[in-house]
Amino acid sequence: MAWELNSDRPIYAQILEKLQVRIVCGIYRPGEWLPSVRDLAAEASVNPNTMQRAFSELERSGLVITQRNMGRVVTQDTQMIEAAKRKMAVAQTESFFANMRQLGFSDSEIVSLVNSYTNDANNANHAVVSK
Amino acid sequence: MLGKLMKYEWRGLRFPLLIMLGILGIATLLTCLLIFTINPKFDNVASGLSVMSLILSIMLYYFGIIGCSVGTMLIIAIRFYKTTYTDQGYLTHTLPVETKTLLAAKTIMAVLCYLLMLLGIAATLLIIIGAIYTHIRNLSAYDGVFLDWQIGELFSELSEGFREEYGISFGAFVTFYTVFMIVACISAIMTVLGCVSLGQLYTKHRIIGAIIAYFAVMSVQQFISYLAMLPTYSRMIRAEALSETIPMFEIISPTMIISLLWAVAVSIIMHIVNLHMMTKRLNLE
Amino acid sequence: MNEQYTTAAPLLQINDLCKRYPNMGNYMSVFHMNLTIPRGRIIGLLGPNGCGKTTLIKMINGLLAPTSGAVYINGMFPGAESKRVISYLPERTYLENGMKVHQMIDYFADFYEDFAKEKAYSMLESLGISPEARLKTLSKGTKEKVQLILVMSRNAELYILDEPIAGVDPAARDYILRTIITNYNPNSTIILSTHLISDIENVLDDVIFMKNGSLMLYTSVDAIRSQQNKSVDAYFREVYAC
Repeated sequence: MAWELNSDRPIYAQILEKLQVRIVCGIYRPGEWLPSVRDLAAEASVNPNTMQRAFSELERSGLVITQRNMGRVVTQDTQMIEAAKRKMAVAQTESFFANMRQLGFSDSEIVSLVNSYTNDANNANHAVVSK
Repeated sequence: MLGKLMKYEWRGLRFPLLIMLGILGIATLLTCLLIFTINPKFDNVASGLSVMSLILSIMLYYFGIIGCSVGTMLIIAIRFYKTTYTDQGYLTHTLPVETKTLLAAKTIMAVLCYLLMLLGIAATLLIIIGAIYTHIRNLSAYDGVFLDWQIGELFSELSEGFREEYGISFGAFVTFYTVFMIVACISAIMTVLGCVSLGQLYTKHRIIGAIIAYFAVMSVQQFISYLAMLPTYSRMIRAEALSETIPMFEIISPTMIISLLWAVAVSIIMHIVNLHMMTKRLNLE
Repeated sequence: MNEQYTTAAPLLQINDLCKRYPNMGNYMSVFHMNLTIPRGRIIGLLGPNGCGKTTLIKMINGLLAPTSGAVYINGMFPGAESKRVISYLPERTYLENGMKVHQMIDYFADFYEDFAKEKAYSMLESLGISPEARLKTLSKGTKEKVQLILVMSRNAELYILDEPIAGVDPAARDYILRTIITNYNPNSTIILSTHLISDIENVLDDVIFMKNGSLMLYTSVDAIRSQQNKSVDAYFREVYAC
């Protein structure tokens, strides 16, 4: 199954994000081998050079370590993974707030909306209805 | 690479050729069988029937010969056209070989197949002559050995008289004539292939173009053979006027040599045409 | 010495290439084209119908003589040597109808040293095509798949695929793209000509835009996306808007 990719941003950046998510949420666990560039490229239906570029970015950030001639493993530094997770959470929150502000909500209104959303027992149904 | 190309060329050509030879073989066999049914001791009705069926069978054989030689030409032309200038050309022309090797393989196999077919036809003709001779030998009132001896005498007289009348030995004449026929065959095949290539110039109807080119070349050929006959005529007229006897071969040799040179020239020209069309002017649809 | 020269030369170089068709009112199908293509890329050759893509491809493959200018493959003119390293998928079906699929495989193996038979047979199996099938019994789509298998089973230096995904169903298209990706190696380049950009956009490194026989743009997919903030497909529509 090809990965869902948006059309308006560089592909390698989107691939990079998806790989980070996989590491942060434990699909690729600390110390585990990653699939090869070629296999992942085929899985995602993207160009191998693009996948390679995303991998290089991951290496630069330290989340992934290259073992010479053998492939790549996820870092065992769980603190680093935790930090990456934080960073992504902050980014998500930022974009959420930015979107809500665009709709005209103030910060306090947003917070109370979030609270009422999480307090609602039927939040799933509620979410669908309110949409 | 030439060998490989020739192998696949043979594989592409052999099937229809062998079928045609098979049909000719059946016609030959039928004719031979019917020859053996001819018997003067039969009554009128029976012998009339066997003669009639023999005539029909010989006609079948005759059309078989025509079909085989024309059919071979056609099959060679069609295969050359299809593999060189249609969609199949996309594969043919992207094989890792030089164009001249490609053309050489196609030409050599086309000529070989045509000669093979002519040999096959000659073989069936020999079989039929053999059958007639065997049958006459069986029917004849004489001893068979006596008949063989008579025929032998006839041939030796022929070859002795041949030298006097033709001014060349029988063996030399046969050799010359064989070479002449082979060169003529090569030039005939080269003409067909060359005209298929020339047809490419007429991009809208490439097949019609090829047919037009063929008739044009044939007209030129006709004209040249007229010219080639001129020395023969003039020698004949001169011999008549001076009432002297010139050996036959001396009269026809200029014509034969001109024809031979023309055939060689046509082959070379057509080869150049093919090579040019397959490289500089190649334009697959 | 020679070896060094060939490795130093770019995989494909096109110098001031022109093609004029005298039969079509001297129409210039390719007009002063210049292009240098390195190894290790997957490149989309894009442009509307009639922009000269196929003419260019034919000249690279030595199927058409240029009117002026030149094509160099590894520093050499198209010829037996270049055909040895280029694996070309034309838009036409070139298979001989009387042959069986496995005979076609033998044919390729006989002529192309870089042809991997096992690869061809495994691809046939995964697409459910019988090697014993006679080509005339196969549908047009299946013939195209056989042709693609033959072309992709070579370990060539340059693959040129002319409209490989135009006529096939979505499942086969995904298979073709996957084949292209898994076949990728840093020493070879794949040039894909197509007008269905959105389907293949994610697979491409670079794109070449052609218009009226000339090179309009040669850049990377990521460059278009980050500079224009839109997909190559959307950008293409904008550039060629009528």
